[in-house]
Amino acid sequence: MRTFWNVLRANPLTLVGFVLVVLIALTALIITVAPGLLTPYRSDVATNAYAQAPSWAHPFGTDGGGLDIYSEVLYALPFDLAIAFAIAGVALVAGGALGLIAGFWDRPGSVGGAVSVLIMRITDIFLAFPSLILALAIAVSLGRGVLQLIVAVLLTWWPYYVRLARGETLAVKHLPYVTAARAAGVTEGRIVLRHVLRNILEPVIVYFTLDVGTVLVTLSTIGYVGLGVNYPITPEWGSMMSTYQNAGLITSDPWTVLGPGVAIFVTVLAFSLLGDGLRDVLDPRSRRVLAGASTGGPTSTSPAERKEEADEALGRSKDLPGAALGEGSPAP
Amino acid sequence: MMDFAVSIEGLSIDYVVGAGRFHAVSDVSLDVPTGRVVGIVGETGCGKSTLAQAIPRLLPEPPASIGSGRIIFRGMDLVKIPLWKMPALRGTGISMIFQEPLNSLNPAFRVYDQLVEAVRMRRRREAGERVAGPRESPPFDYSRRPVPGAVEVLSRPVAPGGATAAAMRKTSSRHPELREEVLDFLRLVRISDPETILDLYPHELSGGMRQRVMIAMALSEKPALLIADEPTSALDVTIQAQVLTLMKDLIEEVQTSILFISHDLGVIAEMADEVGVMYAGRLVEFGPVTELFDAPRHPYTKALLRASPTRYKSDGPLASIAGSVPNLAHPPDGCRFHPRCPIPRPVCRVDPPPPLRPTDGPASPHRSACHFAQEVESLP
Repeated sequence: MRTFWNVLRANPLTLVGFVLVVLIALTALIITVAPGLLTPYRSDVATNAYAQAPSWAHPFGTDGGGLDIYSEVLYALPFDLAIAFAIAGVALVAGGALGLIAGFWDRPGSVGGAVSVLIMRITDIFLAFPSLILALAIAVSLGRGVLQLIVAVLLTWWPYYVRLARGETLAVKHLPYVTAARAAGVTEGRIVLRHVLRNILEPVIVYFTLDVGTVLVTLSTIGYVGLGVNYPITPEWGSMMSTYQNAGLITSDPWTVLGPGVAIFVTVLAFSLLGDGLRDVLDPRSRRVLAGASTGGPTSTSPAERKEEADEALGRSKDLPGAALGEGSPAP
Repeated sequence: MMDFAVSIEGLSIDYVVGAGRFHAVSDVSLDVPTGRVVGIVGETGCGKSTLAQAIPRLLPEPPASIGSGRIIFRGMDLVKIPLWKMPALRGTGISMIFQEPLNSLNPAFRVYDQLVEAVRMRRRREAGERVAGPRESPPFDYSRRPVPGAVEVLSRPVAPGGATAAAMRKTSSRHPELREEVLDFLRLVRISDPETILDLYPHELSGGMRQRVMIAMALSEKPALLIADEPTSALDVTIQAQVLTLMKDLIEEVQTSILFISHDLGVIAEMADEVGVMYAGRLVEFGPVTELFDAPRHPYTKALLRASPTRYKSDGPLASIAGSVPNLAHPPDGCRFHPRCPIPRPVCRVDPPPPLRPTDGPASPHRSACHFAQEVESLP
């Protein structure tokens, strides 16, 4: 935990991303449990202020029907976040598993090789379509609704994870430590689950974090073209923007569109910043270096030692006696 | 009748790459007697690593394919056993130490987690989980530890590379019994401060330390046969000397059967009881280490010894072997060494010599695959 904190401190942008994500998550939690703490208004009851510009009472203004935009944006947050996580999460698990299988058992001529080819060709078919167009087409054919929206985006989302996981697996499975594990008698299933999975996890998780933002943008786009959820009934940022823009408010009452727009921007930014920094936290090598470099804390004391650690992390490890850790004792 | 840890009979391995077929190992027969160290020496590309990896069936098949021959281990032919049964035989049966100590440890796990996996696996198997083949009692006693006094004298304070106090508590609190055993094996490979090592990641160790951990890992499974594939080639000379000394001590202590692969004649001479020399996929000579080095019975061995800088240092330029290693897709007819041989005869171009015949009398342990083994002695 302490190292995690040190790594965050080492990169200010990561820290910003992390703080934003924590704030967003907290807000979503409060809105779900006790919305009264953050806003006096309800999403389904109009206030008696109509089409007002932002003020202290209504920070993001109100729309023509008397709905407080600030409250609407907040009420949409848990919904948007949950859907984005659900889609990216299912895509991560399903696509990642398929990619792991397709990458690890890909020997031509075997059953695994046939399965691998099948998985990859189906993936290619989905990747051949522009994903947004495909998602829109599926959304049109399924009709409006939350579940339909999730299915539409999900169907276009998993192939990227297959590609990513397969590529990483192919790179990792030929590394000497996988062969060493095999030589030590570890079964194939355990090699995949323990040795390969752990080492492909880092890029996949980083991609996932960045991806939550991308899903959010796609969701909003679908909502924006009017294929998302029904706005005034279910608050959702994309649909909000779509509804107000169609009502011609973007010129007369721009704050109605600006509120959800800024919310999307901030959320996506937060996850992007965090995703970039997460790479350093997940990699044991950069983790130790950053943790040591930012505090000089309990791990390393002198600048020389820190340099040595950094060098080693950069692959410049030395085999000289006394380097980094010494050689233990020579045999008597 | 000798007892063999592994017995290889007429093994041939090809690599099928594109349209080509490379005969990496051709008709090699070799026995590793129980409790002995057998060395294999040869140039890069002579098939020694292929041979080593073929025994526990670690070669990727394809491109590799075992054409013919048998590998007898515990009465089973490993060539015929389905691959899915092999994991049960690896580790506790046949274990391996690799050339690249830098990459042979999983970078994502602490040393403890890697070692404990091996210890756990052995315990499970010892506890009577079904293992293919008849069970054997462990061939040696691993409980002997180095003399404590000597270790303390030689031990040096180790700067903790960053193991935090929290992490220390983490590994020490779980499974004290397993932890003790892991520590025992780290002490066995002369790591003076094993508690610190446990909580480090592989990249925080130096190359020599990593190779020690690898050796500890291989030994912790108490294998019946240990294959060491160039275990010191990637280390620089001082560390190489330390690791070799360690391995030599361990050979005495644990008395396991070892197949030791190296391109370094000096290393082989130091480590092995018996030596096989490989050239272009064939075993060209085999014999007890002193006999083979003192009186080689194959022109290739002789040339190799002459080209070795340590043994035959002279004022003149170092001898090299004329010509180059043959293309294994189209090996020369007859004896594979004849294009580079100092004493080629017409028969060498047509007739491949029979695999290994005794050189000095029918009972001689020294065997050579040269038509004219007796004439080698008179060569310069």
